[in-house]
Amino acid sequence: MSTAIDFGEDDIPPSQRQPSQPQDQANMPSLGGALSAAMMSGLGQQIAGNMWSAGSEQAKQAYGAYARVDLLRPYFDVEVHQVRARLLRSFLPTRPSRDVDPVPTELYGPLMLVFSLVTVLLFGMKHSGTEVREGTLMGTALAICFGYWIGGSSIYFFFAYIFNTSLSFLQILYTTGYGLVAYCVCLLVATMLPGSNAFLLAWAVLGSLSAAKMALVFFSRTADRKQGLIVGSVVFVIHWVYLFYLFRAYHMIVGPW
Amino acid sequence: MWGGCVCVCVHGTGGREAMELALHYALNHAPGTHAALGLLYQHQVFEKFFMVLIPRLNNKRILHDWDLWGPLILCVTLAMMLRDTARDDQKSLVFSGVFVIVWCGAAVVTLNSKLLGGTLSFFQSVCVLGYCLLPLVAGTLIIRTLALMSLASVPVRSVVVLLGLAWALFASMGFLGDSQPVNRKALAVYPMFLFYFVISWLIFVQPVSD
Repeated sequence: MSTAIDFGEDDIPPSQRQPSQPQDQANMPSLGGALSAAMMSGLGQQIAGNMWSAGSEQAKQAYGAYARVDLLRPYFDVEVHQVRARLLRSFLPTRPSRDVDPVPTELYGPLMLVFSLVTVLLFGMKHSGTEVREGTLMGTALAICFGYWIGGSSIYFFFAYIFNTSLSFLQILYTTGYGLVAYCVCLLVATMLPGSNAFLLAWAVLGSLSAAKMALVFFSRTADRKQGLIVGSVVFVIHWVYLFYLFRAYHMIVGPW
Repeated sequence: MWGGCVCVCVHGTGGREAMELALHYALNHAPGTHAALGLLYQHQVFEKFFMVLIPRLNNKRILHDWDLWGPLILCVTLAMMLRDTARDDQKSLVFSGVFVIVWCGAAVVTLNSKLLGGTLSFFQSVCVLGYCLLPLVAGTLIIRTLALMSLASVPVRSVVVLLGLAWALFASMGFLGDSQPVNRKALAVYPMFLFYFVISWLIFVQPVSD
């Protein structure tokens, strides 16, 4: 009897519980209910435990995969002289050799240039008294700069895909990012020398050089010359015109023209 | 009283004695501040403020005993001061904007430093960047005081802000400089410069009556 009485106690693990003796016929219904309840409870606990361990394992894997900065480290593996050279080369529209000059996938320079452009744009917007109806100047500047870097790169990637240009998205991000050097310089000139034609001069010279450099990168990575010419022209026009748009839209102090 | 403490420290009595003096005064004259000051004293917040104000005295303790109380106090102080001078329809935007710039900016600078091979942990770096806001907060306070005396002209504000910027950069480099690889130090300093520059610029353009 004691077996039947103790059977339903919670302190006995389900795995150690013994089946009831046949002589306890009177206790069979309650015993069966207790057995099924105990089994269900143990099963539920086991399922919950399995789900918890599987979930935590997946969460750990996801954290390990996405939260480690090591994944991004190769894109920031750069030294001062390399950044300096790349900044200068972004103004030199030399046609890179398809085999000799691989387009790097570094992101330090582009990211810093985007932040620099945010600062310059913010400076210019405040200087020229630009009003933002909803939001802040800072938010607007961040949206404009990151929007162009990522959105513009996506558009270029789309054209590169259409015209069979062999450039990855990261390479396009790199190219567009270093193309922002001209933006920073020209907009800084516009802020420092308001009301003069200095911006136009800087836009005509530095803006064109930078856009030409980008266009040549796309042109040189496209197999077909005609298609390369089209994709290069698209990149040149977008990059060159967007700089002018930034000036007109966010530097309201304009010259006599 | 706090100004007196700073004077004592500058004139050679030492930061620790000045802090103890200040704490003793505050506890005796304002018992309600016991808990808050005790918490700050426990985390050596005031000592770290002095380390930033006099960078040559730093002994890297700020890195070992990092905390976010000091950065939080400085961020709130700066946000409140800039909020006070903002236009009525922009007060909340300015307050939240300063918070976002300080914390997100510090996070981005720290992440960049880690990606470049920095050896400090995330919160150590955020702690240092936050504490090094002190010269800029002090600059804001000076500009507000000068504005009350109608002396906050553009040149004066420029000098105060530039001094604060240089001081903040110098102090942060003193703490963080050794944690970066030698050939990448300039790459780590640049985003730090941008971070403090944007905050300095916010302080400079705050509408004050000169």
